[in-house]
Amino acid sequence: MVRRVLNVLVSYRHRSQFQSLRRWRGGDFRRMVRIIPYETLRHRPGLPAGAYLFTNLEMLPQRMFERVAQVAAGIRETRPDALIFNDPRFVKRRYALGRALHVEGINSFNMYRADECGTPQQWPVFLRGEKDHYGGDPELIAGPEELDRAMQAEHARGRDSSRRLIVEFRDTCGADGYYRKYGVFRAGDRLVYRHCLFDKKWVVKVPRDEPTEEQYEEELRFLDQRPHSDLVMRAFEIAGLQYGRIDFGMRDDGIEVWEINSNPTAVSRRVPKGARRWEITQKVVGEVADAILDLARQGVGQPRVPSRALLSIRPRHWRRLMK
Amino acid sequence: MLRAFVSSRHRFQLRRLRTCEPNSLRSRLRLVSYESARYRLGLGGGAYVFTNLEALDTRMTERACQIASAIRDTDPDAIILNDPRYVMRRYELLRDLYRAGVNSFSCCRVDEGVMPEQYPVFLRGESDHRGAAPKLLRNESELRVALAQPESLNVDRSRRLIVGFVDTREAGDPVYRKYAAMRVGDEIIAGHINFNEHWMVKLKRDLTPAEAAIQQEYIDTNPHRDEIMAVFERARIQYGRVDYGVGENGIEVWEINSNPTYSSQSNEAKRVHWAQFAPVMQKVAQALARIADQGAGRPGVPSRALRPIRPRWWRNLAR
Repeated sequence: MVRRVLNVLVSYRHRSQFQSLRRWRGGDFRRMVRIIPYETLRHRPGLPAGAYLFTNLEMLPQRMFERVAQVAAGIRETRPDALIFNDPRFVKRRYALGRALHVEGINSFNMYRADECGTPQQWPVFLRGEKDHYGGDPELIAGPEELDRAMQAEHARGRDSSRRLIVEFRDTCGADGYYRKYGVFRAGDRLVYRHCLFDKKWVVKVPRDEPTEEQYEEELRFLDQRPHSDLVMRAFEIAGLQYGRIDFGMRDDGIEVWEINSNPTAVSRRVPKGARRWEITQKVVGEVADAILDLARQGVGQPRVPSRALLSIRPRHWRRLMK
Repeated sequence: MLRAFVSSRHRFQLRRLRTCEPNSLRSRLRLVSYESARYRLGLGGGAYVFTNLEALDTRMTERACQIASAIRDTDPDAIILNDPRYVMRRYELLRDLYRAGVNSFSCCRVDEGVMPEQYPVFLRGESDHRGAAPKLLRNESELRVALAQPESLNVDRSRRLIVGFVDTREAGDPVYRKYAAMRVGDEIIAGHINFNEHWMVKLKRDLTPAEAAIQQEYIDTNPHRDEIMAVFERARIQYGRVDYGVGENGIEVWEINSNPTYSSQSNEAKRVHWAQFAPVMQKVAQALARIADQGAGRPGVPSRALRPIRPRWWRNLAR
């Protein structure tokens, strides 16, 4: 009997991603992967044996993020050889990643925080929340005056400007009038090419229509040929993430990374439209699950983490008792 | 009536002021915690002041903004000090003051991924007020070492600032001075000067007679009134305390605290300080009382206007 050897740490509200993967795959996956909500960490007597995978880091509020970073530090201190994936202390979240990718020359566009008092170098731009994943349909802003007006409206709506991003828009529309969003999973050293989504709108989120035959073929070519794998891996390395899904667009000479999600949806609750897409989904999700199981196997033989590793995040009354 | 919004952990500052100045404020100042606002059955009428804004997290900041919107929607002429929708907080203010040429130093967030152009610098949290005398970092390699320490790694780097250091001591003077002035509505009130041999002028020590005289002169003459008012205007803050130094190029603003500390005569060592600061507190209290009087007769905010900040279960019940 294989023990649970991969501890996935995730916020309680967003645990469904891994839960649905566990349900979908069952068997070994269910036995080897344990889900631990961040909210329970400070009351646990220690952490179970195995490897640790921190997820959902870009969504955490400040206090929870700091608690999670302290947990990672505690694990490392008490078990120097512990296997930690997505160590929050070294992960770059959306803004830091966007800046770093621009500096490294992977992205040709830059982003700014709304309270930075900086002027974008390229127009148009759009506004988004630092933690938005759903994103809505932001409007493109053509110039400084329009941006001022948009910022005024943001102020009036009561948005925290320190958490709003001004992102330079990069047009990656194809000659056929479709925007493409490519998705690739990373789990450890493996890259799993997940999908290519098509949309007439530039915010490509959920495909509204069933893809055409040509689009299927194009997606299959993308999955088979695995383009730009070196750049994709480099982007993950810059982000400090060993697990997650990168969303990107392509230009002639490279990629434009939109974001990396450390708690991506592998299996959607909705069955995708079209039998062929379902076929692709089953194949690719199977590969993602296999890659996660490979991570889990690396955790075999790793000892548990003692209670003292969590001392810094204990409630105050608990810390007093320990003294 | 003046209703002051404050987080429950930090309401002791205004409570202390009210206790020290009961004649002006006892019947005029009401404290409302940000945490309890969402459970209130409306807000009474009067003027409103939002405090402690730089210490709020994102969720609480947005809640404060929604409260301000509800007040403004109910009464377009409402008197709101420190409207959280427009107030500049520490990072934005320091950037803005540098761009405007008021400050000769700037700051950046650690996660911006850029290294400062000028050294020395120091690291501090965006919401820290206590600041445990951080180390001055003289060059990029010292900064990189500091960023790799647990104090920098185990925290949210998007809330950690790299701030430029400016030495505002006069030539030959070993003592640093930190000036503090209050704004209450349209008034600037010179508060105090802290003297210290350490550049992080936080811990107050006994004043020498010469220092007490310098402080008294500062309080009496209020020499930087216009520059300070201009800074508050830029920050869109109508109530708070600015901490600043005076260098070769004029004032250098360190921060504005929208929930300033009020001293109490806690020990004998602070006796001189207290003797000079008590009249300042009195002026602040009187200025707040005048704003409270301006708010008399203004309508309150009904319960339905607070719907956006209600807990979900409450909103569901109300359907």
